[in-house]
Amino acid sequence: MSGFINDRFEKIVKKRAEYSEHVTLSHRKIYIVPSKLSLMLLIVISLIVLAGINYQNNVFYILAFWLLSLFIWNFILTFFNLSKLEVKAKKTLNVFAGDTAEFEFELSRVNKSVHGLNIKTDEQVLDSIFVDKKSSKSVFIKQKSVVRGKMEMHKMTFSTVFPFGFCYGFSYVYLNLPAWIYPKPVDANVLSVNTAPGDQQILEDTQIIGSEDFNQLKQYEPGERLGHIHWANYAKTGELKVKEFVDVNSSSMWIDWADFPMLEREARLSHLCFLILEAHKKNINFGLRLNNLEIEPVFQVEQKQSHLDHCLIQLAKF
Amino acid sequence: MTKNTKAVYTLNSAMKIWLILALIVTWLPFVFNLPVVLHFLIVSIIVCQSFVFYKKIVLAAWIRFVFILSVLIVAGLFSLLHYSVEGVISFSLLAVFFKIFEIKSKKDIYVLLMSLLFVNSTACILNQSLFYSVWLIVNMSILLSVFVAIEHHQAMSFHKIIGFTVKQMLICIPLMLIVFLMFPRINAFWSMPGLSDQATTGLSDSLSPGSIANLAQSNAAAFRVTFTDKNKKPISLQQQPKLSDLYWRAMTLDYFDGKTWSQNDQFSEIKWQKPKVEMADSRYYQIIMQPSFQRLMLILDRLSTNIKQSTLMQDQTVLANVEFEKIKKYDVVSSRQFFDQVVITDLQLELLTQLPDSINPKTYQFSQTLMQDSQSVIDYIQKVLDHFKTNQFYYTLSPPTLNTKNQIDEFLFESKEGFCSHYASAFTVLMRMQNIPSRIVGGYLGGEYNDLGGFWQINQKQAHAWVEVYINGTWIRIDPTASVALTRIEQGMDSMFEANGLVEIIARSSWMSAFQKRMDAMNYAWQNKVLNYSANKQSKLVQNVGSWWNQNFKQVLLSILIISVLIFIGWALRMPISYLFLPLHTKWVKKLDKRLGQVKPNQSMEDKLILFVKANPNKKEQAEAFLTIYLSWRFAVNSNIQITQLKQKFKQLIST
Repeated sequence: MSGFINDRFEKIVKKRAEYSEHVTLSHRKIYIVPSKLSLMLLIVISLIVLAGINYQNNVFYILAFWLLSLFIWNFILTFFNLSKLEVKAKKTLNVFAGDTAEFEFELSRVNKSVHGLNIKTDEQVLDSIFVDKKSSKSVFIKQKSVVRGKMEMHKMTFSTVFPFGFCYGFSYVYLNLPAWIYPKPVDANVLSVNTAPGDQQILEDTQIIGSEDFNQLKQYEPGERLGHIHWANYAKTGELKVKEFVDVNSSSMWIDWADFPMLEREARLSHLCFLILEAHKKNINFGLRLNNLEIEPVFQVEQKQSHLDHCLIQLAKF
Repeated sequence: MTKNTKAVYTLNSAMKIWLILALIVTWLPFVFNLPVVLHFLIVSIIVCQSFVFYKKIVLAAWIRFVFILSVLIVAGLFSLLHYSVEGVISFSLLAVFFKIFEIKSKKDIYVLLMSLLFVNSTACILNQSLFYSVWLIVNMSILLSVFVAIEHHQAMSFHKIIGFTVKQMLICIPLMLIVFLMFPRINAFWSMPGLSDQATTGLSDSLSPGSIANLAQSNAAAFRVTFTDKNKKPISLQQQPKLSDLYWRAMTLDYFDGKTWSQNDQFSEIKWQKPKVEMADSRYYQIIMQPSFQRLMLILDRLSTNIKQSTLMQDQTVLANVEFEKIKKYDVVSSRQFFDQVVITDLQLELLTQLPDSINPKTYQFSQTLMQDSQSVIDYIQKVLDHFKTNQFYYTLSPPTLNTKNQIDEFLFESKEGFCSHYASAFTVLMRMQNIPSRIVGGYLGGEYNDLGGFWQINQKQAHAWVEVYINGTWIRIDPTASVALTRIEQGMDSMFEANGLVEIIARSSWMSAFQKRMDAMNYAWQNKVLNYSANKQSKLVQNVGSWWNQNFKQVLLSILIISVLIFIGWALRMPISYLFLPLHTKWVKKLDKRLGQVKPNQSMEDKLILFVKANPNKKEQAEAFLTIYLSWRFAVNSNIQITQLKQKFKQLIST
């Protein structure tokens, strides 16, 4: 029976809930119920009233009814502690399948602080969050990923027992903040069907550091070429740094979906993911071909990270 | 909804302070009322737990055992000695305080706090004065603050939490009042243990003037009186009775053993008889009794209307059916004339002239000679009173004790110093020696009129004794003290003595007495309106509200309707404040229309401006400048645009 009621309740809640990047808690979404503590309070109030009746003493009545009206007022206070709280999606930490993704969103409310907010998901409980009226507050929710693709955020329960704990106010928040789950990188140990063996060889070359393009500053170690010491930096900070150079690798490789027909879909994506990561690690310029989609290799150092992310997201979306 | 984790709960320092504070504030109201042993135990519990909290000691099991044992012993002693409510309260207080040793989870804190809320409220059995009740309410708000602190002490500071709770309590007052006024008043389900009689104050039921060396002067209120007219409307200052008329009868003393006057048990209850005619000199008044733990009711003269739940005694005093354990109110109608024409039986005659045999020979001698000189009984009485007046008798509250067997002789012919009891006693003995039926009456004389509250307050120190003599079928009131100290009768007790000592001087200073008067008036209002709010008053209130409703419901409904429509309109529009400058907008639209030479209704300001710019292409910049300011002024909620700025822009736009 209670299961049936729960299901019905869940349905009603879902109908009223709003799936959006920017959720504002309103009276349609906030539910207030008396807490377990209120049962204790009601017992105490009845005992005081009973004493008042038996002693025919009006001071008992005053104390009891004051408690009672505070209990009723508590419902309203609890509601106003949640009402108009704004939840804004910010960003996600995309991860490989099986890892824990992280969602970041922002809580804020103008004019009034939020006290003792608890946020609960299936995997995580955040207790006693205080949102100041003057500033917004970032909240991170972790969620374990299972499969490649788009991962929606689970239902979040926002709850509070503010102020006295006699009422439990809660609201379900479905935030539109999907995380992309990349395929798990797995080396399938297969050779590409239509590329020259040289391509494969590129991945195995480890020597990357060259002399043409300035890449970064690193700590000086005895035995390095004096010509590479960044003297300007030495004059400024007193630290010996050497300039590290890389050769601009104008050659590039293509990582192609069509190259591995012997692997089934997910395994093929995992293998592609592995190749992409290897290429990135070894500083090899690479492009990605997924059927109709083609991502050109990039040669600028500062674009490489975003290129990698872009490629990985395409794998996740594929 | 929330799941309790079984993890060990550790209190942080803020919560420790809150809990110790909760214990102390709950304990304080009991300090004056409960036995010392209990306070010793409670203080040691609090100190012990403070050590546990701050020195991080683990309380040894044997200490707890000793504590529990001592509680059991104290509880046992209480139940053996007397089954009173103090015993019950002490026991529950200790039991609840022990819970502080057992705080292992949040739930334990909640159980402790809930019990403290209940224990705090039981303190109102002990005392229901305004001050004390307010104290309990303040305590309740501190306890409720702890509920807030449990969850939110990190985000809110100590004084913020208290301030928040007090604010919420104040907001709840109207709702509390409604429930308080409307909650049905039910009769007690079962009888509860009353207060133990150690608190007894007020009049004693015997009088031994010779053995008292110093009469205690208590400023505690005994009762308060409001005189009303027939219809229970309070009367004005001019109509208030004279101070010297206010002889509040409580009891009569008619048996004398040579030292002590006491009540004769054979004087018993009589049936109430309704008077045939209403007396012209009837007085109507309400009395609010302070708890006296006695059944004695105070009335002036004789009753002319029966009082509910009371018994009329043969000596015309009235006893309540139950003792006054708490503040209680009753209405009285009484008349002086009812003392006329009372018939007493032979047995009563014998009892009213009783005297111990063969003592006070000098007094007897004196009364015989006095009687021989007198023409009548009245003359004899006058001569006795004259004797007090002319032979250097003194009124004093610290008379010498009378130690011989013949105490009356000693008083009349040697010490000649005493207070009301001495004079009443000696006078009655002189009457009875000549077989004139007489008795001593105990009660209060006078009172202090409080013009702020329009009531009389009678304090314990106004206790008095006087005499009633039966002559020619009528009881006559005679106050022998008046012959010695007339000011005591006419101006009250305070006028009798010079103020001595700093406390007295302060107490009688004008601002202090004004303050005292104000406090008395507030306490009186509290007792009258709140403590005595009963089923009776409730039904009257409901009737009044009902008749008011019947007369005014149309207006009320109409105004509710209008107000809600206004609220709805306001809510539906949710206009920015600047919308209130609508007339300005209309004026501008009219001006623009005039310029364009056409009137199109329901056009927005934007549309109008587009048309205007089309007609005057050189005004494009001004139009844009005006529009941006106009839009943010009109629709942005927090716009800080000055209206003068906007007016200026419009002028620039419209100028040729």
